[in-house]
Amino acid sequence: MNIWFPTGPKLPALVLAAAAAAVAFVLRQPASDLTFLIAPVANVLGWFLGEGYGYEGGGMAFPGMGIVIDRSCSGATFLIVLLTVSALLVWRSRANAHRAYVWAAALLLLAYPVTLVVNSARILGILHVQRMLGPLSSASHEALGAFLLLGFLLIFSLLATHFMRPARDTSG
Amino acid sequence: MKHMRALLNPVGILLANTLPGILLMVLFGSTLSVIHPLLDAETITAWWWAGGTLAAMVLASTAYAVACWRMHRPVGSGYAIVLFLFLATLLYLTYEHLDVLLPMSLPRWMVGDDARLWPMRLLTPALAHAIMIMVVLSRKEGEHRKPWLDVLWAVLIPLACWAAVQILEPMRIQPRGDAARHALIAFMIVLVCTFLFFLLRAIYTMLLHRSSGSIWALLWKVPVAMLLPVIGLLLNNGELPWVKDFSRNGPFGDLGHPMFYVVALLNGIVVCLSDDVPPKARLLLFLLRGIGYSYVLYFFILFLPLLPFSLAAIIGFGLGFLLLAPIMLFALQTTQLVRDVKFLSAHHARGKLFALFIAAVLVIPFCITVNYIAQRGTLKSALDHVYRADLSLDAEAQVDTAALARVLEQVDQNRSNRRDPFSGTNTPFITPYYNWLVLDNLTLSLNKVERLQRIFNVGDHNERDRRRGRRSPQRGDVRLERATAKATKDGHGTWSTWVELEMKNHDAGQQEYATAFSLPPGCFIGGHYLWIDDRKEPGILAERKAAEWIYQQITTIERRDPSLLRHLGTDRYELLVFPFEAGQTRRMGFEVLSKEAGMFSIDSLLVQLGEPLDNAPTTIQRADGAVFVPAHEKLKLPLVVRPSHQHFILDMSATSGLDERIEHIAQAISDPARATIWLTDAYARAVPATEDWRSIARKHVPNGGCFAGRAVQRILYEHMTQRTGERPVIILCAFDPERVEFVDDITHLDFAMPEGPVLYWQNTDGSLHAARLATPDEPDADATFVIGEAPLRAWGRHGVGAMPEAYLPNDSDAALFITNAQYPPSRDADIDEDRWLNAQRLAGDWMRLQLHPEAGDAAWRDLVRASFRAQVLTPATAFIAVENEAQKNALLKKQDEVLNADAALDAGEEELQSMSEPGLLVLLVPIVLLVVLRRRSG
Repeated sequence: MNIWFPTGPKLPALVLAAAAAAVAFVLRQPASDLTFLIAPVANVLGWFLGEGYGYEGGGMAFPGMGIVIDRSCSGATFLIVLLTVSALLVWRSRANAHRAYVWAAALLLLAYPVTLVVNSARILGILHVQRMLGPLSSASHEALGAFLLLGFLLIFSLLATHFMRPARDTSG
Repeated sequence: MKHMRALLNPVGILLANTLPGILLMVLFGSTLSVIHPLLDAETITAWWWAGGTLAAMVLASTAYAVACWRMHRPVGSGYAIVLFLFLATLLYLTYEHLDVLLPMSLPRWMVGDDARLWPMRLLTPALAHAIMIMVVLSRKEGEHRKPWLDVLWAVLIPLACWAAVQILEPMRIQPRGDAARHALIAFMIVLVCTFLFFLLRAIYTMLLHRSSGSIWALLWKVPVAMLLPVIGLLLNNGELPWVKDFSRNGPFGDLGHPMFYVVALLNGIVVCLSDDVPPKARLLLFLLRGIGYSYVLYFFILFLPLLPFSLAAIIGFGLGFLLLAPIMLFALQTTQLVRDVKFLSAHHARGKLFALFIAAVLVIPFCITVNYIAQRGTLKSALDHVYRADLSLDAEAQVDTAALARVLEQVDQNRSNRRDPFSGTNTPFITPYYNWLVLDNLTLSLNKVERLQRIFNVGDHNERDRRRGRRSPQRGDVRLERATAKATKDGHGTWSTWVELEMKNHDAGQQEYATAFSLPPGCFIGGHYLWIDDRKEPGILAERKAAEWIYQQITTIERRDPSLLRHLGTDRYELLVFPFEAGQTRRMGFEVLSKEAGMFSIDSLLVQLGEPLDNAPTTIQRADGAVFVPAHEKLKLPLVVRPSHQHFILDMSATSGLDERIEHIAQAISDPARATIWLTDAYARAVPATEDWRSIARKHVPNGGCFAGRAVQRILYEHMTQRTGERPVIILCAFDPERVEFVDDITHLDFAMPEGPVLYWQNTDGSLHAARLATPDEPDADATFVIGEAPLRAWGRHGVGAMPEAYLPNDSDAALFITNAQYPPSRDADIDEDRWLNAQRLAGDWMRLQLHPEAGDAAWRDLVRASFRAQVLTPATAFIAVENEAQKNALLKKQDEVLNADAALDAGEEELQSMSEPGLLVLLVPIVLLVVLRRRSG
């Protein structure tokens, strides 16, 4: 019997990895339209900050806050990383094939809303830190962003690992 | 029950004793750092004793907790008894001697309003913890006893006290002497503690009974979890008709929000539900109880400090037992949650349960926080629109007026009694949280609230009770008797003239001296002092709002010795000195920096600046685009006359009378090519008179009040930046000045109107009335200014037909102006040795800032700091002389608070900043490595 199918989680993991690669290929094209990532984040920020915003210079600009949500902060990178890590987690899980497919599908579906939430939280977090400490250099706020995103990824990995763990056999 | 023994975990000591103890020390330490100059040696010694005792208690308790934790031993009864006796004594002695630690002579504004409550609030958790330990240890593990005996004691004690009061009161027996009084108080403390011990043990014993879902359990769960909380809320909020008088002001604050009732009922239902359900339903129950737990915890913390008064409340007032309801509910719900965790541990990992519990507890605080963050955003956008707008933008960001109305209502309600956290209009803990999160612990003045309400046409701003600040000190007949000047010239050619004034009170009672005066252009104030008794107290240059606040506090509350010197507008200053007793003469002085010798008048006395016989010619001075032209140089500049450009500010806030206003404007336009119509409601939109402005105006949908101040700012900004060579003539077509709103500091734009800082109101008959820019909403019937030709001096015109760099008033004074409006300006130097040159630079920065409100908070902070470095008065700072070190400490503390206020209330950024994500590899490599390595190590 093939060792990949149907008993192990490897094939679903590869499917997820392929999805990650496809997303990476599409989103990293300079001409790709990232409005589906930018607009909801701008909506969330507008709601949280009570700020008006408008399309300007390839992104959603918040003139009152002096920020713009454009390609560079769309969350596309995080989405790719999230899918890649999800693939890795499914690969390393001990789930059977059936559960692994379910998990792969669930993680694939979750990736988009999680990206929107995490990216909004990242920007809000940086803005809050800037309010406390004053304006940050771009290197500082990328470092802060990396810290926040890695934190989210870590929590995500721990939760996913925990929930993907096979149920204990309580039958005795 | 084994899980109730969790109360003996040494971590409880850290939570109930160490943390509140440290917080208490920090709070009192911060207060002491301000007030210590006002305290005598005996009081300072008392503070050392109190602080040392508290620190020793916290240290010893923490050391004991750490020792227990390392030895894996539970907390013992010895600790509880010793701590209890110690704390009861400490609390008693603290309140017995509170007037020694915080004398009544201390200004209330310096100490804080609730400082006297801090010991009670922060030491009672440790006291309650000690009692709980004693309660738990008084029952052996696995022992099952009936609670009725404890209930009986808990009922008998207040009954006996009540009976004793009824018998002794008519006999008028009073304790005689200190010993008897102390003995009676000690007896009362013992009685209260005994009562609480039996009451808590009764609750504890009832909780130990397993039949949690039985009908018998419901007999006491329903009252504790549902009836008492709701009755308590109704009582506090004055909803019970027979006790309305007692609770008219909400003795525990404003708990009237409907959500308090909703959550109380829902949480009560969840607490009363049976535990005998399947695991999934039990998990749901656990989560719901977790969500309600933050609510229970809130009331537990609120009522815990009142625990010692519960007995007195029960005796004196029948419903006093309601004070105990939050404590009982807290105990009940905590026990239920511990039971839930024990049951669910068989089905779920403990870590997961813990995470779910934390998430559930945070649900209500999260909802409140999200709501407040949204309110902060709304308030910020409104304040930005009014005070930090980018004047170059025609399309302004729209403000959500419905949300703003709610925010202003909340801000107004919170401000109505900020001094008393338990006043009927404040919600305990939540109001301070709101003030911190939304307002940065500052406040939004009534004037600002009203201005926002009028600009955005929200709230009942016309019906408002106008509470205009505090009562000002009386300004009677205090006259300036003498003014002397002493001038010296430094190596940079700057005159430093110290002007000393002598004032006398010819009136009765305490009076304030207040005067306003103008200095010639190019003169700055660089120092100040006030004679207090025989001491010459130098003035402190401080942030203006902080200085004004301290001056107001001192003069209205303490009535001591301050003086304040501040900017009023271009070259205009105000001087305030307080107090003058009847017949008293006082002296104060200030330093004027100038390049030219000259004169100025103050209260009709003439004062000489510099030496009158100084023949050294003054030269033109330049610094970072700010130029000073001496009077004799200015007279050499060519005269020009600018053609007028009419700017009609059309009130679009209401459609009634619009046609009439439009017709008046149409008749008043003298040249459509040199006329612009500003359609003005909360926003201002410019329409050239050459376009079909009538149709555009008629189609316009009103949005808010008439914010004419914005239109004036934009008009002057355009004329200063676009250099059209035209004279702005501003005509307000609003008919009703009450409907029109300006901004406070619009007079600082005087420099943009060299022909004269004047605007005109068009009356219903089409005639014009002039008003000064300093008081734009007061048309001056006697004003003599007319729209006509006014020659100006042209600066920096390079060749015939070329546009000058600046226009200067055609008078005999020197002039100080800017040649470009760019902000931030290019800097020649950060700080110069020549103080006058620094002052000139700051004056230029201030003018530019008036044209760039969007530079916001950061620019304002820069200006304040630059003013400090140069030690020169600017409109952003003020000189204040105070009497003692404590007032200086309070000033510095307030200034720190103001300067560090969150930029969201009034900040803006210069350029759009991209919120870039980190690179792909930066994220991918660490997380992949972590996942792989974690699995390998596992």
